[in-house]
Amino acid sequence: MLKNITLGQYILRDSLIHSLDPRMKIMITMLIVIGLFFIGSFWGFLVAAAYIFTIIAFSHLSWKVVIRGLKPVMFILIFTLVIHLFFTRGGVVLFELGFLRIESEGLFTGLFMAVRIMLLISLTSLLTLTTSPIQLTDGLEYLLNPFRRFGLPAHELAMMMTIALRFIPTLLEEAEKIMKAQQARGADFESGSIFRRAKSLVPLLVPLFLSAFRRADDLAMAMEARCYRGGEGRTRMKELHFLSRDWLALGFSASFIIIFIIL
Amino acid sequence: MAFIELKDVSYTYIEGDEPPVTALKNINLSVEKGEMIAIIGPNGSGKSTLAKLFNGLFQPTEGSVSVGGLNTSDQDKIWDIRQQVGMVFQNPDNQLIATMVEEEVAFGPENLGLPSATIKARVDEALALVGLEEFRQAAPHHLSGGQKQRVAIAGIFAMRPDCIVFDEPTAMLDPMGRKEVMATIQKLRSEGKTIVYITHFMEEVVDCDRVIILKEGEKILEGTPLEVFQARELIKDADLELPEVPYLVYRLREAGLQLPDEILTPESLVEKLCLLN
Ligand SMILES: Nc1ncnc2c1ncn2[C@@H]1O[C@H](COP(=O)(O)OP(=O)(O)OP(=O)(O)O)[C@@H](O)[C@H]1O
Ligand SMILES: [Mg+2]
Repeated sequence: MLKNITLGQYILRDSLIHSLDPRMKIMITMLIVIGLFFIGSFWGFLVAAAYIFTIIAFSHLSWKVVIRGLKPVMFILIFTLVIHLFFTRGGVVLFELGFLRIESEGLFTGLFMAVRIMLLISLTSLLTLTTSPIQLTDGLEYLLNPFRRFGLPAHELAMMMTIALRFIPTLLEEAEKIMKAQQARGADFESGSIFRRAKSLVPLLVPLFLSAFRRADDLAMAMEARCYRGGEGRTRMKELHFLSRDWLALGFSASFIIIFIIL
Repeated sequence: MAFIELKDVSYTYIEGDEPPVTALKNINLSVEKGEMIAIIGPNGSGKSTLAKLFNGLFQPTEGSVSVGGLNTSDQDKIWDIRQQVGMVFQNPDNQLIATMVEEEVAFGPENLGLPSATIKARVDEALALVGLEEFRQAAPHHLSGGQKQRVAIAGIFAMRPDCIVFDEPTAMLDPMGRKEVMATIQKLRSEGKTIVYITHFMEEVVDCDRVIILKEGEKILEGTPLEVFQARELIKDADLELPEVPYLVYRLREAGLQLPDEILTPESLVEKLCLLN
């Protein structure tokens, strides 16, 4: 059933990484991502990979889950590698056949690029694997809050994300219901050309949109009835506090960044 | 002065080019602290419109509404009024905001700007009241309709209102969910909360203190359940039906049995019937 989908890819575990403050996790992820772009040597990549494996170990997740996250970008990885192999010039010629020529520079840049993307994706999926969407939203709200004075609606963005997360399962369930009702009356969503199939979705989307608008109206009313008036003066039940483990994680990650950039 | 007072209230919907719809006409109504009143009427009789006037979600087109001595048109006091008069709506899916039960219950108190420790204590208390402690980490869309409605009630209870308005809270529930919600409302009542219960099921008004019948935006009848059930003609006029027991008593009396009026429950009917022999 659609109702039972889990949003995002969060996997609940009782681990050190899971228990870190979401703000710290987001900041560290950003730092490492930036760091990855400054790695220039094989040894640097090795250290960065070691860092990621350390995190996987500490998060009590299987490395297979993380590898699975790489599947959707497989094509990009191969594409990057191939493009660099054949089109980046420099260094010694490693292979030549007719108009195809691979030079060492191409091989290295291609491999570096592919490994960089792999590390990047594993790192960000580790963030979403160990942080629930609610925590992510909360963390983002806190982190973006200082930018409010430049007109960034931090609270509103977070509220929109929360409401979206809350309503996606509800709307999916409703879509399923409407679809079944239409199928019972002979509607066909599964055969025909893409164009035909897209067209057959219209009678599904129209009622879905109408009901979404009605829901939005009701929800706004319910929120107002519960004294919601934006982020001003609002407090939180779960306040975020950095603990010593968060600072430790930052120190640990920072030293890795320094090492793998220097190498 | 009563806790909630409506004086000569009318409400007209004006939307764009469409002809205005007068949903309420000259309503006078008062609700005392600690009372449970039922508002009943057929579809389109103006029940939901009336509900939204109680906490200033709507402003009356004519007349005035006051809550605890505060006029709902007073924009400085509107948040105090909404804190005092909570509201549970019909559709359980459209009134839950958060992705986790405990966050949902905390939403109201968070809006009131309470300190974190206070909010936690209130969330615990509210979840205990509705009996959903073990679901605090659950996602609302995994709950049954009755449970969702109880979460909504907990969310209101955590704001410590004096009065809670229920707008057909059981209309979209199965019999099981309906029972759960009714039991929770009775619990709130025993906690001393003032309750305004809107419904179109006559059976649900039996144990209210007072019943008000609406028809086409007008109050056509007001009284205790017993008094109201005597006015069979008016009830029929308003497209409503007597609950089973009073209807049975009425038919039995028509058939010549000497039964008293004040029979509302099957138990008392059995008792009175046994006395006949
Ligand atoms: N947003 C609106 N715009 C215009 N007219 C409206 C609007 N909402 C309600 N009405 C009209 O006002 C009247 C009263 O509606 P209201 O929703 O208060 O009735 P109700 O007793 O709650 O009905 P129900 O049992 O269907 O919930 C109806 O005639 C309805 O058509
Ligand atoms: Mg209604």
